[in-house]
Amino acid sequence: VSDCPHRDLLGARVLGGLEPEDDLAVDDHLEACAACRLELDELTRLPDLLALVADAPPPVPARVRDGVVAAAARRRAGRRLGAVAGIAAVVAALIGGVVGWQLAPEPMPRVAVPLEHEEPFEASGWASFVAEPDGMRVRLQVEGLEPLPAPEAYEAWLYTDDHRIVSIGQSDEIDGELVVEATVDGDLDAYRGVWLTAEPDGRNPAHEGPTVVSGSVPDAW
Amino acid sequence: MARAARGDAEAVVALYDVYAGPIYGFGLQRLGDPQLAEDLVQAVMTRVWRFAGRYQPDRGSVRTWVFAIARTAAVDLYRRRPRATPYEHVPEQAEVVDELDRLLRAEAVRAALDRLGAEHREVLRLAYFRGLSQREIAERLSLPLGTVKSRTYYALKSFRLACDELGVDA
Repeated sequence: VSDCPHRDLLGARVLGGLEPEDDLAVDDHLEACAACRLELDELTRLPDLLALVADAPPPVPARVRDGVVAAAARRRAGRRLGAVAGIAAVVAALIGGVVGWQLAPEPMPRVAVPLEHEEPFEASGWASFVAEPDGMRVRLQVEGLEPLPAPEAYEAWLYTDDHRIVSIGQSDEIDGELVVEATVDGDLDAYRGVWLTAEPDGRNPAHEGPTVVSGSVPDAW
Repeated sequence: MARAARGDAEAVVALYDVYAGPIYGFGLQRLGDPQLAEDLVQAVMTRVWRFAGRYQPDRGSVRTWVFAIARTAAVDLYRRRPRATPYEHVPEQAEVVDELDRLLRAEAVRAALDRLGAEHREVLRLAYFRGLSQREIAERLSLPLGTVKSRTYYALKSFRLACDELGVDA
């Protein structure tokens, strides 16, 4: 190929943009030149890769990178202090009423709070919070509920520290108790309250139904 | 990963440079909002280095682990969008992995293009991304047509080499 006079046409042949006479010349040449056929075969796949970039999203703004690096640096600086605080938090949680403890090789922080019923409902239950690698696992277990006719549905919510309402999920299956669980973003300190509502229309994402049970999210593990 | 878990800035940046782009693109597509896409990158990367010490290689690759975190974080952020929109499809993990793999590959191809010299990048940009003919490129760059043809060929060859070096299969 290196000595072939038609070699330089192969790039444009693959990308398009050759003059018609050049295209015909390449056609004729390829019939006789195995080396150029092989070369063309290897180049032919490259536009598919270029197409990936053509469809690719814009780059991430630089400020995001700066923020992540700064956060990592802050965490590194606070690691020693954090380790001591972590032990203190575990001790405090044990004294304060931890209902579950994972006997795993690397136990995750876990706490649970009681859910108190709201009139006229007579249900009760627990909400548990477990730190996980991909967020915080929240699980609501509620007893004493009546099944709801469709499209009504029970829906669990979290109230965030910055005054937003986040849906955890819905359930209409009551087998002795109702369970709703999900992994949410952030840590305990990102949330203030947890509750279950009876939504009049489960297909409507808005929070419109009455509260069935509610509880406060603890401040620390 | 162990270095990232210790908060080593270089390790954190290395993970960021590989995964932030695809995650941002995933966020733009799934959440439809640049600010939420930025929040997604921040949330995922923060969790990655915060929990890097708990990553277990025998349970899957770093890529799979990061993608699982991205999926959960995206669903969380999706829930936080204005509540006026109805529930939509929550992606399965396999679907997320496919999407992020494609974006990861696109990011590697972009890196391969960045390795090219300016002249090669320019001729590929005009020929492929702008769709100009060889003659139009020659006029645009004030170069002989033969030079443009030759440059286009060598630009593609260099691109293929850069892709090979970065492990991007054609």
